[in-house]
Amino acid sequence: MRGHRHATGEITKDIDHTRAKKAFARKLIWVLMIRRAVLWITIWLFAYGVGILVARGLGLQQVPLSTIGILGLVVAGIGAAVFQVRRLPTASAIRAAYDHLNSCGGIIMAEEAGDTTVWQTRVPSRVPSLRWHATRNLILLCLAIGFATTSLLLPVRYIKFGAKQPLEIGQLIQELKMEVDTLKEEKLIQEEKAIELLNQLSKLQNESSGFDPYKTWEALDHLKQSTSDLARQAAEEALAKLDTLATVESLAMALQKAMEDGSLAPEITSSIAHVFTAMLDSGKLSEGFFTNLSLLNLQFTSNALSTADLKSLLNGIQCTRCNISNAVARLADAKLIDAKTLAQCQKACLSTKTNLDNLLAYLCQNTNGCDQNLALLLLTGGVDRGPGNAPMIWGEESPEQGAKFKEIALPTSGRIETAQFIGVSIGPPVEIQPEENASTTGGTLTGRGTSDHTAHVSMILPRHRQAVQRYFQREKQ
Amino acid sequence: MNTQTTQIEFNSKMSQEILKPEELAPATELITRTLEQLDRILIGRNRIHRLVLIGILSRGHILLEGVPGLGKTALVRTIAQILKLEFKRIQFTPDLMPSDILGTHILQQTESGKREMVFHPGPIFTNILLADEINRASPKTQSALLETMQENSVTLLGTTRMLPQPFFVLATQNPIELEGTYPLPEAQLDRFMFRLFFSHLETDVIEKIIFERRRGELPPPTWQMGQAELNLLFQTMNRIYLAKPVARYIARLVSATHPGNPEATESVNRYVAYGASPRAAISIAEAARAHALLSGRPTVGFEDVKAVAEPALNHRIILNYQARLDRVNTTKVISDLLNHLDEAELGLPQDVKLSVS
Repeated sequence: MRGHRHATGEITKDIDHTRAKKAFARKLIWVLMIRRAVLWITIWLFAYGVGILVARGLGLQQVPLSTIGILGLVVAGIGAAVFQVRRLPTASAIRAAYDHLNSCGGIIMAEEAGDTTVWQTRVPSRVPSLRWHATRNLILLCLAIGFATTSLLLPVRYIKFGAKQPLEIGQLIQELKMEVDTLKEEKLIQEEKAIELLNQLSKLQNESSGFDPYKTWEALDHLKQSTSDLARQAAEEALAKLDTLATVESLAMALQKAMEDGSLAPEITSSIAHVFTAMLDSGKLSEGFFTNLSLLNLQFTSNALSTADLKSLLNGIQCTRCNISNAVARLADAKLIDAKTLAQCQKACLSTKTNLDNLLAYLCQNTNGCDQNLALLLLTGGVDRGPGNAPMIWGEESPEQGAKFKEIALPTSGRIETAQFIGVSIGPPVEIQPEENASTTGGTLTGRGTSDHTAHVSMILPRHRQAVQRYFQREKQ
Repeated sequence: MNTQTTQIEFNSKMSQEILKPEELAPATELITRTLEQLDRILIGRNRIHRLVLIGILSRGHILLEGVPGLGKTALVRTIAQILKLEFKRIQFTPDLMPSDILGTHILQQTESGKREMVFHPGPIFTNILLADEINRASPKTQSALLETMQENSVTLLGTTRMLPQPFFVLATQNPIELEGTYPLPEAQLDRFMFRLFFSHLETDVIEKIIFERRRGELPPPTWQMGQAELNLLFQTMNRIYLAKPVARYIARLVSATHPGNPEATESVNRYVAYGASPRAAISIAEAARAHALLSGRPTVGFEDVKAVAEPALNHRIILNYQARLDRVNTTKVISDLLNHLDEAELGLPQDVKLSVS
């Protein structure tokens, strides 16, 4: 550094302008690069934070988030630097800015044209200061860092609120599986059907999702309804069978008692054996559900019913009733039927038909010809569930009075506002009656009603009426 | 190709001819003495004096605008005295005819007895023409100056006659008396390098004038510039170097006066109807050279451009009616433009600021 005394006596410090310009350019480049890097890193951190949230929300745990983050930072920094270097101001622009800031009056800019060394000593060569107002950028960077860190550290439960989550239907599935097992054990459904239902339940459990719970709930409801309907149908059938068995048991007990007393004629026993068979057939014990539970033995030793046969029959009935009752109880245990149905079954299992004693007594006293009617007497009557056979009766036709439409000719409309004055008659108005044989054929008025005044009447729809009315009111005005 | 070669040669020549301090010193000395004379004779108009001298060094015409009694005519007369140039004055009136300015042909009998049309030059044939109250003449008469101001010549009856060099038109006009006046057309205004506004003098200056000068008479100049010295100034002016970034700055500045330009400011877009012409850019460049010369530098800087931009542009920018409503004038529009335009075109972001500590 040396001093020069000018003609004006002023001493100007001679500093190397070249070094000052280079320092200025270096500072400018660094500031611009750092600024660009901060901007790009901020953008990357925001994008990275969003990416973390998405990845963690989707459960992509195997993605190396930290590695990606660090790599992204490096790439953003280097990319920003390269990007900024390619967009740096030209050397001429930097020289012009240096010239301007130092108030050199074009002396430095004239370097490109010739030697200005003599003049350069007369102008100051301070390195211009560069100030980057980075408050906003740094705040954004801090926010980006905070966002990325929060995204990284946030517990998964706050992120996976929208992700696929299985429904809590395990208990319900277990209950349904138990119901299906019960139905399968009681032979109410076939083995293949049971396996199919169990597979459906397993599939539902696996595919149930919080995104669409209604589908799962509907499928479960449908399965539940199917099993319940099946169980209810079985319970109703069991109730009917128990009722039939109760009737047969009562009759058998009454017969056994009568035979032991000797009050029953021997010739009637053969008919009663057929009656038993017919009754049990009508009860359809060998059809529908619970067929495997029947222990009845209707193979009597002879056509005539013996005491041993009756005893064997009673034992079979007892065992069958017991088995059916137990099966219904298991259905109730599996909550396939309600307590009321179970109670009805249990009651039917314990009940006996006491009124058959009187019937037997009547038969014993009037054996003549009764053997043919015994089956009919025992198998009919009483309250049953058969269809009603009452005939339909067709009476007189209803009168049309009050229901038929009556035509009424409406009076002529009084369109006073559309009437035109054409003259004054000399006498009172005379009503012209139409001639009886007057021909109405031909002409434009053919087929018109009494209220039509013109050959062409436009129909005014209700929605147009107001507009037409306003139009004529305007014409008046 | 030919043009490119010429340009390269011009730049090369300029690069070799950047003035040395000792080469610039005589011109600076002449300018300093001229300004000293002006400042001594006409008190309180230092800025106007410098701008008028810049206009003369740039060989430009100047329009002086102000109310009567502010010393417009005195300034022109004093300049002519100091520069020792021929000076003529025309008082423009509504009945002034072009022939009264340019001259006319008169039928005369020669000594041989023949009759011929003889040209009698008008007052335009001078070095410094004071067109006093130029807006009082009719457009026909005003238009008579168009050729002279641009071409420095007069064409009459098919004959073109060159004016004496240097030739300057220094016109005055009164902005308050508008009755019976004809506002100068844009083509005429554009031919003036500067439009300078004369403001009222400060009280101290007026006091000094009436205390020191009897009846306000101007003192005679104690020094006058010779023809050779004036030519030296013009030659020095030609060697003032205009760097490319400065030329670009001038071009951008003039372009930015047009609404819709990418660098136009909000005030330009809002208030300007028509921007400045390329002639404005040429005027600014020449005036900036002269300003650099006045500052004792061989090169033009951005400060020189900023110093002359306002008087060079204020009559070339046409404002719209919105500007009248908002009471915005061209000075404010140009000031906004100068403040916002990035001189070096560094393209720095807004949050990065440069300064000198």
